[in-house]
Amino acid sequence: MLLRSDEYFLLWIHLPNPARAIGTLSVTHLSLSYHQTMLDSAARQPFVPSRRALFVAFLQIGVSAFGGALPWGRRILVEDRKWMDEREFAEIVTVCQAIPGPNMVNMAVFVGTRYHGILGALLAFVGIVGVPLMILLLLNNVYHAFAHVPQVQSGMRGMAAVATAYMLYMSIKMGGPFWKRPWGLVLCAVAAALALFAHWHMALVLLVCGAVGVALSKRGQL
Amino acid sequence: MKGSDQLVDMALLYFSLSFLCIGGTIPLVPDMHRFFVDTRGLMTTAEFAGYIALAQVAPGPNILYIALFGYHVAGIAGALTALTAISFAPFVMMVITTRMFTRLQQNPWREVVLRGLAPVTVGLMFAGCMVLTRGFADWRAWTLAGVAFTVFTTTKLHPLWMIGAGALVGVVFGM
Repeated sequence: MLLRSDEYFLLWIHLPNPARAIGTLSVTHLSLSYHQTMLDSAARQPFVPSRRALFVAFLQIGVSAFGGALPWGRRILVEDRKWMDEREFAEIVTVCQAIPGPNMVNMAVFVGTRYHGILGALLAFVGIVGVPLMILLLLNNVYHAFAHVPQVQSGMRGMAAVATAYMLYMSIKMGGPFWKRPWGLVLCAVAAALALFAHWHMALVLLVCGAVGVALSKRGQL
Repeated sequence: MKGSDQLVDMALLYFSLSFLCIGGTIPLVPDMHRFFVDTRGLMTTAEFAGYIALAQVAPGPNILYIALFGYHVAGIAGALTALTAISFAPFVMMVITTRMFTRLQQNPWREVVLRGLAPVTVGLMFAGCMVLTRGFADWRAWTLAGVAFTVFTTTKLHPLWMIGAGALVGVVFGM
């Protein structure tokens, strides 16, 4: 069925009485062509959210994102606002992963640029970062006001330990298919060791190990 | 070092790191730790790890702990400088990418490069975790982290609950 029930109903009550009497068949036929013209006009004028709506959407994502913004981005952009479908969202996420920077912030810049150019990108960026930044600075001040209390220090150490474990868990989850490839494991260990024990700078590790990684992946070994 | 010099120093660090933060900013943690703790001596490892934990408790995308490091060094100006500098390259690159989205989507090298970089990114994230464990005071922190890791891998519990529990355990056992 191409029609939502409310559209169907609207069409039905606008039809003259004899047509109603004929029944569903003719109504469906009429409504199909009606719906088609609706779809065509929608394709000709694609929906563009206003600057304000853009800002508000990313502000909402920023404020509700606890421990990873991506699920919230999906919920708000795909399910609530319907600015893109599931597949498009996944594709944009892969592009955002290939570009430096946190995924959801990159996503904000992407969506902002797409609808309103650079200004849109800035609006979306400030939307997703601004209010959470204020909350965090406030939280930080509260923490420092009580930092001399030994219990606060203890609590903070406990939190830090759990946060470290969470980081480890996230990095393992991010690994994806390479865990099953021996060369992937070796490369991963070498990169970690170079950063940790040889004190290589990240840029150098990324350049050297990244080149090896791309070469391996080109040969289908990752 | 004068305050303004420190600000420029930090801005340069983040500006250069902003080109490298593939897979988020967590792989940069070893580099940031070296800068703030080892070479400049601006904070201790415990403070460094504390800021990361604090940012996990608050909402928002997970680059905000970088603003906290900036805030530690030079107040609000430091926070804004750090955040702007780390966002520079990603922002510019994303604006350009958006314009050529469809072409990039079809490029066969995209998948190859992503696959090749994944182990390196994860390796650097491991290194970041190891750096943070240097701030662990004793075996209790290790135990807590181990238990938390097991919970994360075996259940779907929201990380926020575990971090809250971590704070509670810390207070109760006087870590």
